[in-house]
Amino acid sequence: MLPHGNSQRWAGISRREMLCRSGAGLGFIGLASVLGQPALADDQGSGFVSPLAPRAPHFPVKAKRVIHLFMNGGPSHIDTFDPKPALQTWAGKELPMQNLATERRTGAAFPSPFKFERYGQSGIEVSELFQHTAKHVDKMAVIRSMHADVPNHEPSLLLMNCGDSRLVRPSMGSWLNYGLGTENQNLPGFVALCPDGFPILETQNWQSGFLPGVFQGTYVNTRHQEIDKLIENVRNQHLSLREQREQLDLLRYLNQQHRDQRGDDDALEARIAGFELAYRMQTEASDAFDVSLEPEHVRQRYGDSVQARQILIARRLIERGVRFVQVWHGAGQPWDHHDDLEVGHRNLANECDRAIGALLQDLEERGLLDETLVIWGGEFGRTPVVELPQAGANAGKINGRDHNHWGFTTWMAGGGVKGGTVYGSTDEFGFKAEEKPVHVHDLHATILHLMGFDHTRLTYHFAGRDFRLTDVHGSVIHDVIA
Amino acid sequence: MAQEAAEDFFEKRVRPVLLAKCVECHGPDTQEAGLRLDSRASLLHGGEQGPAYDQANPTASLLLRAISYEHELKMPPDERLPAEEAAALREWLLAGVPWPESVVIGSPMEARVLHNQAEHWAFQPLQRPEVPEAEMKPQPIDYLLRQNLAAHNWEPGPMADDRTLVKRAYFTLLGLPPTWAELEAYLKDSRPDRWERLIDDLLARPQYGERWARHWLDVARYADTQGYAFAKDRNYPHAYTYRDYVIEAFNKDLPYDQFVRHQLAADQMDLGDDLTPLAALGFLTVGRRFIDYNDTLDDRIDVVTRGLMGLTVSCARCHDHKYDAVSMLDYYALHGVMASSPDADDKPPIGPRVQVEARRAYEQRQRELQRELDDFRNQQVAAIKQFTRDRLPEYFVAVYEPPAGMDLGNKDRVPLAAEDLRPAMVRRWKDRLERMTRSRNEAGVWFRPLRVLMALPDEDFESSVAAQLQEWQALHDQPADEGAGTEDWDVREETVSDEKSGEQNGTGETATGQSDGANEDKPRRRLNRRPIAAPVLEKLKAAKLQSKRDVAMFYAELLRGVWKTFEEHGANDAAVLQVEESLRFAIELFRGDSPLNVPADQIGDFLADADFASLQQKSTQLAEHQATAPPELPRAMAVIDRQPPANSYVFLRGNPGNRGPDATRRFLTVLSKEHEPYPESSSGRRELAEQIVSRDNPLTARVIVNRVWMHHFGKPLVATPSDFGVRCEPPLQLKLLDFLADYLQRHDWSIKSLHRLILTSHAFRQVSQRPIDVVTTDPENRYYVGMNRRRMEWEALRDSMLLVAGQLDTTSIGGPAVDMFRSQASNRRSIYGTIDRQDLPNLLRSFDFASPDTSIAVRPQTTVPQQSLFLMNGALVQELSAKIVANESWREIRDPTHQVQTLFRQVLLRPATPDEVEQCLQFLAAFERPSTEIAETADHVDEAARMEQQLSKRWQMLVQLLLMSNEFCFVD
Repeated sequence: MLPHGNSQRWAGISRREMLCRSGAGLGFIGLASVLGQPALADDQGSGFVSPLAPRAPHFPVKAKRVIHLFMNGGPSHIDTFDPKPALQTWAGKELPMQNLATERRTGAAFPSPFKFERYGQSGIEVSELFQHTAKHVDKMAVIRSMHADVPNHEPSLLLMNCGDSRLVRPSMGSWLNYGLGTENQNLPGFVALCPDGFPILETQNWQSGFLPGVFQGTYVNTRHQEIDKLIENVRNQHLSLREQREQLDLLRYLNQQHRDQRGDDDALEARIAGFELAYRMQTEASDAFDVSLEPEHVRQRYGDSVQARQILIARRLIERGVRFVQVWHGAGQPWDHHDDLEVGHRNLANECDRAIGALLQDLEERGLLDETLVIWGGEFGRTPVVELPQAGANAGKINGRDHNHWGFTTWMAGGGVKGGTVYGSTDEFGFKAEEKPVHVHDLHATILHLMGFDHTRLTYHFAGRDFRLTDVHGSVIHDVIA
Repeated sequence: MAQEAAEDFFEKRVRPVLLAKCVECHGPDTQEAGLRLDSRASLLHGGEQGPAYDQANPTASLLLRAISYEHELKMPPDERLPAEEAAALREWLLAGVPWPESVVIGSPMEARVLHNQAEHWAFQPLQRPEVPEAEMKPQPIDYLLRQNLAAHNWEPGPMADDRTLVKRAYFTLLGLPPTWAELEAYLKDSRPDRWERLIDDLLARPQYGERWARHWLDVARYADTQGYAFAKDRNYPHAYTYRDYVIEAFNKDLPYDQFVRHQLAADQMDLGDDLTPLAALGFLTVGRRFIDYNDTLDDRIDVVTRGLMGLTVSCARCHDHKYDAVSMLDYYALHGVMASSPDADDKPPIGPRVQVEARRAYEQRQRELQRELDDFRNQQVAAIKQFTRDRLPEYFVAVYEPPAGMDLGNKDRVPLAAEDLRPAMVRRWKDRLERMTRSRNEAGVWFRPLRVLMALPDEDFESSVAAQLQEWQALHDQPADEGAGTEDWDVREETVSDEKSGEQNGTGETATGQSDGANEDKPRRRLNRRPIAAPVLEKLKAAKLQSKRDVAMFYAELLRGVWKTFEEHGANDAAVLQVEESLRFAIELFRGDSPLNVPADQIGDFLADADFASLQQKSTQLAEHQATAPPELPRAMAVIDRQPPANSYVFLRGNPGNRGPDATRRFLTVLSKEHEPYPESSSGRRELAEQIVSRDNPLTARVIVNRVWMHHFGKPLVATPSDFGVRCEPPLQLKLLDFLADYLQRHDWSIKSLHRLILTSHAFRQVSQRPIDVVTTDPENRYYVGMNRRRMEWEALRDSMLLVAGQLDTTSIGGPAVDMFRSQASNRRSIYGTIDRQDLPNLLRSFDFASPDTSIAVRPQTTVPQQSLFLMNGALVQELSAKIVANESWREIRDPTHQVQTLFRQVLLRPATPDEVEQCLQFLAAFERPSTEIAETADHVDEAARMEQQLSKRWQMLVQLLLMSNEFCFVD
C-alpha cells in the first residue's frame, strides 16, 4: 500500500505535501488514497497527520472496535460451546475412529463432565461453565468448525494473532491500527491486557512486525491497580498538573519562537502538538483504567476479581475509542489442562464467565454492541479423548485433554455479527472440523471484513513484497455476518 | 553453417528471442494452442495448427509466416518482432532450425534474467559521470546536483551559519552536540581549513564509530537475545563482540569490501595476527532464532542479500520472485551456503593470535583432561551400579545389621578392598529404605514389611513372621474405614512409631493403633491401619521366609525381577507397561535418582583403594592444568563450514517436505557472468563474499553509498535503500549515486573518504530552509536545494541529554551489553544498552527504534504522545535536570539572568534573547508562595529553606523544558 515500505516519514506529512505528491503523480499512494481521507489528529490545526489518526476502511461497516477475549492455553470446545453427547456412549472406551495425532498420546473417550443446556431463542447449547455468557447466545455466532495447523502453543498463538505460525508478522491488532488508526489520540490504539505477566510467546503476540512500532500493542499488567504501573510515565512524581502546565506553556513559547524563525515545518508542529496530547493523556488514561469510577451496580455486575476488572477496563477503553483490546486470561497458558481438566476449567470459567456476560449486556445497554466486535476463543481446542500419562509431560492423572488443532470453537458477537448462529461443526465426537471448516485465515478474513476491509487489499509493502494478515489465504465467512 | 557456428548463432541470436518473446506463452508454464517452443522436438511436433516448422518447405513454416505477420496468425500478438530479430529467426528456420542437442529453453525467469541484466538501471555497471576537472576540486557533488537544477532554474541554497554547521557536523558524525567550549573554539578559529580540520577531528574520535555502528546495526538486525526460548536462556552473551567489531571497523576506517568479507567469511580468511574479525560473523548469527531452522536460514539469506546488495532474495523462498530475476534455484543455492555454515558450538575466543592460540590450546587440553576424568568417573559409576545389583541382598541385610567393622555413622572415606561392601552405598540404601518403608504410596505398601520383619527378634523368626503376616492378613480382610490413605500418612507414623511403641514392640503396626489408641486422635489411628496389599502378602507367604537374610533376599530379588523386565524391553515407556502396575514404582529405583546411581562427583567414597588412587591422580592433573589458565577472552558468535558442505534442494512452495530439484551452491544468476558452482569442499561463503564485493557487481557499492548519504541528509538518494530491484525506479540523482559508488571504490572503499567528500560539499552546508516555490514543486527535496532538518533518533537524543548534563561516559568503548532501558540508569552511550528482541522495551518502540527482527533500512519517524510522556515524566530527564542545577559553579553564579544565559549556552548552544530571559525569569518567580498568614506564623528559617527548595525545583523544571524543546531535538 505504501510504495516505500518503511521509508515514509509518518508524522510530518503535511496536507500540502500529500497533495503535492499525489498531484505530481509521483506514485505516492498514502493511506489517504487507499483508505479514504484521513482526519487530522491534532485539533490545533497544525498540518501533521498522526500515524494513528482515524481512517475510514475500504467499505462502511458498523464495527469500529474489537475486544478479543483470549482464553490462552486452549479451552476445550467439548466442555464449553460444542456439546458431544456421543462421547457418553463411548466413555472410557476407544473411539470407533482412530484418534487424530495431537501433541501427546491420547486414549479413551472422555465425555464432558459438564451439563449443557439450551439458551436464548436460538436454543444454542452451552455448558454450565459459561452459563452467564450463554444468556447472550442470541448475540453470538458460534463457529464450531475452527481449525489450525499444528497442536503446539507457540505456532498456534502466532497463527491466531499474526496469521503466520512461524515468521515475524504484524498482529491483527497492529493491522487494524494501521488500517483504521484509532479514535482516541490520548490512549494507545491497541492494548493487550494480561494479569501477572506475559502469555507464552510474550510480546510477540501483539507485535507490529515490520509495521512501524506505533502500531504495536501496549501491554498492561492488570494485576496492578495503580495507574503509573499500568502505563509508563503517565504520571509525574514531582510536579503538580498546574506546575506542569506552566512548564509546558514556557516550552510552547520557546518552540514557537524556534518555529517562527524557521518557517513552516510539520515535523516541528507535530512535536509541539505531541506535548499537548501527552498532557491530556495523563488524565484521560488514568480515568480509562480506573474502574472505581464505575457506578457500584456496574462493578457488581462484572464481579470482583482480576478477570472482572480487566474485562471492565476493556469496556472502558473501547468506550473511549481504543481500536483493539486484547484480554488475555493470564500469564503462561492457563487453559492448558492436560490434567485435572474438570477442576481447572471450572475454576477458570468461574473467573471470567460472569464478567463476559456482564460485558455483553453492558455493551448492549450502552448501544456499543453494534460498534464493538467481541471475539472469544483460544489458540486451539482440546481432544475429546483423555491424555495418557507420560513422564515429564503431565502429572499422569488421566483426567485431562490434549491440545486439538483439528477442530475447536470460537465465537463472535456484536459488530455486525449474525447473532444466534451456529456455523459449521466438528465430527460426532468433536475431534475434527467436519462441516464447513473454518481455518484461522478464514476467521481473520471475516474479522477484517467485519471491520470494513477486503483482506486481500489491506497490505503493506515491505522488503520487496506486499504483505497481508491472511498471506495468500482466507475466505470471508459470509454466513456469520448480519 | 558449420555446427559450431550454428550453435553459436542459436545461442546468440535465436535463443534470446525465443526466450523473451515466445516461451512465456509457448513453454513449460503455458502452452497456448498446444504449442511449445522450448525444445527442438516440441517445435517440430507443433501445436493445434500443426508443426511450426515445415521440414520439406521451410519457407512455408507456420512459425515463419506468423512472425512475418503474413498469416492470419500474427505472432507475437502484441507487437511485431524487430526486423533484426525476425531476420535472425528466418535465417535459422531456413538453415533447418539448428538447435544444440538437449537444450531446453527455460522458464520466463531466464528471460527475466537477461532482461534485467540488459535493462534495469541498478544492474548496469557504474557509469562514472563526466565531471570537468575544474569542478572536481571545488566539489563534484555540487556540480552533479547543479545539473538537475538548471531545468527548474533553481540555485543551491545559501550556506548555513557556522553555529548550525558545527552542530550539524557533530550530529552527523558523532550523534552528539558540541560543548559550548568546542563550539566557541571553532567560531574563533580563523584558519581557512577549519572546516576540514573539524571533520578530521570528529572522524578521529571513537564516538564516531559508536554513532555509525548503530546505523549498521539497524541493517544487521542486531540484538542481545535470540527471541523466544521456552524455559531456556535467551541471551546472546557474546553478541556484543559483533557490535564492538562494527564500532572498531568504522573507527579504523576498515575498507568496506573487507568489512563485508569479514562479516560473511572471516573464519575462511587469513586474518594475520589479530583474530578479532571473527566477531564479524555475528552479522549472520545475531538474528532471531526460529523453531524451524529454515526460518533462521531465511533470516540470514535476507540480511545478506537485502543488507548488502538491496535485493529481496527471500521473496523467492516459496516461488520465483514476482518481479525480480531471482529464482527459487537462486534462493536455495544460498540456502545451501547458509545450511553448510552452522553456528560454531564452541564460540571461538578472539583477540591477538598468540593469546587466542594459547587460550585454545589450553581449552583443548582442559577438555581432554576433563573428559578423561569424566569417563573414568562414569565407568566407575557403572561398575558400582553393577556391583551393588549383584550383591543387593547383602546390602539389604547390612542396612539393618551392619557387618562387623562397618561404622555407618562415620561418613569419611575408609580403605576398601575391591570385594568389600561399600559403607557409603549401605547408607544410600538405608536412607532410601527408610523413606520407602514409611511411604504411603505403593512403595510403602510393598516395602513396609521389610522394615517390620527385619525388626523381629532372631529367635523363632519363622513363627514371628507367620504371626505378623496373619495380622496383616486380618487387617487386610477388614476394609479400611472412610478416607484411609488420603492424609499425610507417613509423617504421622514416623512421629509416633519412631519415638515409642512402633520399633519397641517390634511391629510398629498394630501396636500404634492399639496400645496408644486411647491417646491418639482418630485420623492417626485410621491412617496407620492402611493394609498391606494382597499381592504383597501372597508373595511374602509363598516365600517361606526363614531368616532375615531370606527377607533381604526376597526384596532384592523382587527389585531385580522388575529391573530385568525393564531392561529387556529397552529403556522406554513400553517397558513400563510390562511391569505389574503396583510395582511400577520400582522402576524409579533403577533410573534417575536410584541409590544405585551414585552421582559422579561423589564416586570417590565408593571406590576401592586402587581405583581411588587413579581418580586422585586424574583430578590433580586437571587441577594443575587449570592453574595454568591464560586469561579468558571475548568470544565470537562465529559460524563454521560444515564438513562436508551440502547443496540444498528447492522446497516447492517453500515446503521442505515437497522436494524439488537440487540447488547447486552458487551466486545469484542475475549477478553472475559465469555460473560457477561453489567448491565442493567449502560452504561457499568466501566465494559469495568476493562476488558481493566484486567490481563487477554494481549493487554493493551503490547500496552502501546510498545508506551513507541518507545518514548525512536524512533521506536516501534511492528511496528504498534495501530494495534496488526492478520495482525501484532509477533515482533522480542516479549520476550522483554512481559517482559516489565509483568514488568509494577508487578510494579503497574508505567510508571516511566518503564522509569527507560529502561533508565538504556545499549541499551538506546549505541552510535547512527552502523557498516556498521549491518546496511546492519538490516536497521531498530530491533536488537538494537546501538541507533537510533532522530530528534526533532515540540514541542521539538520549546521548545528547546525558552529554549536556555532563553525565555521558565518553571514555569507555565497547563491552558487554548494559541494562539501561528498564530500571537501571546508565551513563554509557545508548548503543551499549541491552536489546532484548523478545521484549523490546516500550520506550525503544515508542521512539521508533529499528525492529531487531529484520534488517531495517530506514527507521519510521513517528510523533506519539508516549515520546512526550517520557520526556515530561520519565526518570531520566528529571534526574539529568537535577544534575545540571546541582552543579556548584553554576549555582555560585547567583545572578538569575546570568544563570539563565549559562543554561541556554549549555543546552541550546546559544545565548538567550532578552525576551527569552524575561520569560524564564517570570517562570522562575511564579512558584506558589505560602499565604501571608502562614508565612507570618511559620518559622523564618524554615520558610527561607522552603523558598530555596521551590526555586530549585523551578530551575530544574526550566532545564527540563530546554531538554524537551524542539531546538534541542532537531538539527537544522
